[in-house]
Amino acid sequence: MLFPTFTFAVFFLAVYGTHVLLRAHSVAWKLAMVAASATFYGWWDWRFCGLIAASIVLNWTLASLLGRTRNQNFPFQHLFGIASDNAIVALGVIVNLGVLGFFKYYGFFALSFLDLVGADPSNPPIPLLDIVLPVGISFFTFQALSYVIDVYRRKLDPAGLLDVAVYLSFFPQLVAGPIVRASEFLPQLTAPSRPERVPASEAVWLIGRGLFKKVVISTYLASAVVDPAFAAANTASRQELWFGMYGYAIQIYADFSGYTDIAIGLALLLGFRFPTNFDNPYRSQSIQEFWRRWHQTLSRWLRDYLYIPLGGSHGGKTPTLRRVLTYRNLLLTMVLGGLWHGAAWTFVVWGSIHGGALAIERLARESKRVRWRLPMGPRATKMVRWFVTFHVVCLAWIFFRAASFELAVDYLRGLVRAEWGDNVSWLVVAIIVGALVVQLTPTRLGATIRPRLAGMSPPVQGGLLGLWIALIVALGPQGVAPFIYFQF
Amino acid sequence: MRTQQTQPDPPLPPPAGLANSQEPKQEPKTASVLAVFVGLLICLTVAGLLSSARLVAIAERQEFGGSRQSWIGAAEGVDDLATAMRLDRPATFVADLLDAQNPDTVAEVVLGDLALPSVTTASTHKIDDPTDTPTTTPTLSTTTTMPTPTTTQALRTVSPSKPLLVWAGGDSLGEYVGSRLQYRIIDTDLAQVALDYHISTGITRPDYFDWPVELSSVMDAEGDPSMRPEALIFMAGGNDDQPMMNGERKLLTNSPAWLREYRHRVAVMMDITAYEGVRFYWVGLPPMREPRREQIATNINDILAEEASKREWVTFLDIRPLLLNEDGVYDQYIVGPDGEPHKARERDGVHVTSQASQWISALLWELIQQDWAIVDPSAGEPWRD
Repeated sequence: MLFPTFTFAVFFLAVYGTHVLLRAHSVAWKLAMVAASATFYGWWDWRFCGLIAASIVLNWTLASLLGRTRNQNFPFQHLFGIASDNAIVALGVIVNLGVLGFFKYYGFFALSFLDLVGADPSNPPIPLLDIVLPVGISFFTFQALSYVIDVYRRKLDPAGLLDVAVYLSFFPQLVAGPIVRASEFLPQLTAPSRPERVPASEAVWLIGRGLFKKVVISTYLASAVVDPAFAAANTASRQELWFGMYGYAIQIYADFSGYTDIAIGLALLLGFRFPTNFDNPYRSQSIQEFWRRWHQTLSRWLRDYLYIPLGGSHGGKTPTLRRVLTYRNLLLTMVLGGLWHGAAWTFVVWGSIHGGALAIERLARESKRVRWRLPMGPRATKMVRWFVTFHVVCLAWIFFRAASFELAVDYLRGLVRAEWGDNVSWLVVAIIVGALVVQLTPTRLGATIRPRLAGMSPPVQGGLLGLWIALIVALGPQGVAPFIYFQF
Repeated sequence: MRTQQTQPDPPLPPPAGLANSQEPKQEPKTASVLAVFVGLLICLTVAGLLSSARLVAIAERQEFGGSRQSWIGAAEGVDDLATAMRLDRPATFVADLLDAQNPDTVAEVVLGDLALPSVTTASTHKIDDPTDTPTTTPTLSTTTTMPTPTTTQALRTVSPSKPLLVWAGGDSLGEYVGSRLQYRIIDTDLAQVALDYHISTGITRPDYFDWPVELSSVMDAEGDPSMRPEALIFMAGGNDDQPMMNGERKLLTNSPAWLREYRHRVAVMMDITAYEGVRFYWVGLPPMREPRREQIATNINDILAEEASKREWVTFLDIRPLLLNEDGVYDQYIVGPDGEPHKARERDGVHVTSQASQWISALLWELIQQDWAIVDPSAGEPWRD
């Protein structure tokens, strides 16, 4: 069930009606939300509702065990001491990552292994299994891990089974984020309900903006320039390839941030405030800044649950060793971040480019002997930094988008060697440039529109959103492609 | 409930704020949930009335049956109301403005003027010479149900000055194979491939997309026979596991009446391409993971093979032998023609991967080379990516 569909609109209206009726009855409301989320998820494949249910029960059990070891009255305290906390959290990490690894990476690693050892394909030492990847498994696995680890770190008390079920299955963010941590979600779940306080105008703004980004911008760029360029990288003109690359940068931003906007807006209507996930990423002047603006919930997750546990920038006893370990940690974090997106070497390369760029930037900042300052004024320096950062990001996107490593190389080759051509429409160019201009010079459009929306009553806001949706439907294609991040 | 702040670490981002931290901070104005619910109802009503034609289109795309009729009835009711209130005009106006009378999820790419690299003679390879065929290359004889081309005589001579015009159409399956064929032959300047794929289409639902009409238009070539494609490749059918309408009669999927009607539609498609100097290559369906789909795909392939055998200009390419595992059943991973294990199928159990599309496109190119007696200078690595 995709957000920008009539089916989802009817579904959400029904869910909201239930929300209105049951909001004051905590247990009934939670049961209704779990049922709604199961319906939403089961729309793709009902069999995987069992997987989410198993994840809920497992992580609730582990977190409860972690909580009980702190309770002196717990009967098996001597069995569940401090040492067992480590074992429990290790079990949680192993099982969660094991399930993710099995569904998402088994085939990739099995094939790579067989390729590496040159095994006899008619009698491979490990079987190649036909595994169906559950939608959104990377997202709910990371959320489950954050819950167990935060309880282990004593940042969070264990929650009840029903609360964990609502948290891990909550449909607005179930299949493509944002990755909402338990410490961000559960306190809101247990807060007293305030049915009179729904930030409707904010939600309307986010939902309207998200739908436009996804249905109009993302879909148009995909069909007009990106898909043709990537489908025929060795026949497309150089102009198509360059604008295909820029177009994909805008498409994936519009697609993913559009989804996030809608998810945050829907959650607001249901009484939850999610963390932001994007902040004009293409205005970044460094890769480090890019990751502070792009998929913020993932980069925060990677920082807190991977980079820092690896040692962050504080490993090593000598300054030189500390630096080396920091670069290693950066590279490792980003490579694993790349693999999180998909089981393919193209994602490893994508992560490596970002990890390598982060390490180089850090090296440049820390180097005392090399002058990295450009011989030009501050404004020109900023422009050069932006230009370089944007193009590093765009070139890395080629590996993210290409179906194989070889196709990505073909694409890169075409960027240099292909005939220039003149077959990119002005509308495509205008959308790409316009999207960049909006990011580079924030127009505060939201700050202008939202107060006016807030001055209107919800029925008027609803009418305006209806008009806006009708315009989007008229401008968009029939049928909407799934969100790009659903595959992760 | 206890929460603590995480310690920031410089190289990666500091904790972000909650939603819309980049927006100016202000106490959001709020409304009651009941008022919001009324707002949502109004939103859906306004959007539905102003997009009523689209609602009808959505309903019509549902699978044939009672549920579809109910949906259509409801959508047409909304559409009638919208028309009476003249609320259909804005959408019509926008459609006219965009010249988008028939908006679709179609991504249509027609590459006419290809910038082709010059031919290199160093790697000249004659594929029909068995002594020169790479050992890892499966010959077409591996596809046991593939008929021997009935036309043994070569068609016109293909040359760089007059390359072969190839049209590759179909649904998303066709898109994969067509685009890989483009890759396969781009190093020659002996053929130009035009892609014409329409996602989610098939031949059971002409109300959604009418392939015979499309194919007729392609063959008409805007009245210019010199632009008519000579080699047509078609691959679709993955979306055809649904009922068909024959007049007012609903034909249940895979029933004898359904199979008869499907055969008729296949025959119509094939006959549209009956022009002198034209060859039509219909690529069969791959093995399917789900037993129900597999049964339908097998029946469709049987129909395609039988109808193709009746027409000398049509070749049915059975790709099942290429994609079945050693036990002769569907598998996501198979040993490819190069003797290495590969992921051949996408996770939906229907689509083939880019790798497998490449194998299929190599088989197609081999067939085309045989029919037109083409010597492909880049054919030394038929399974290359």
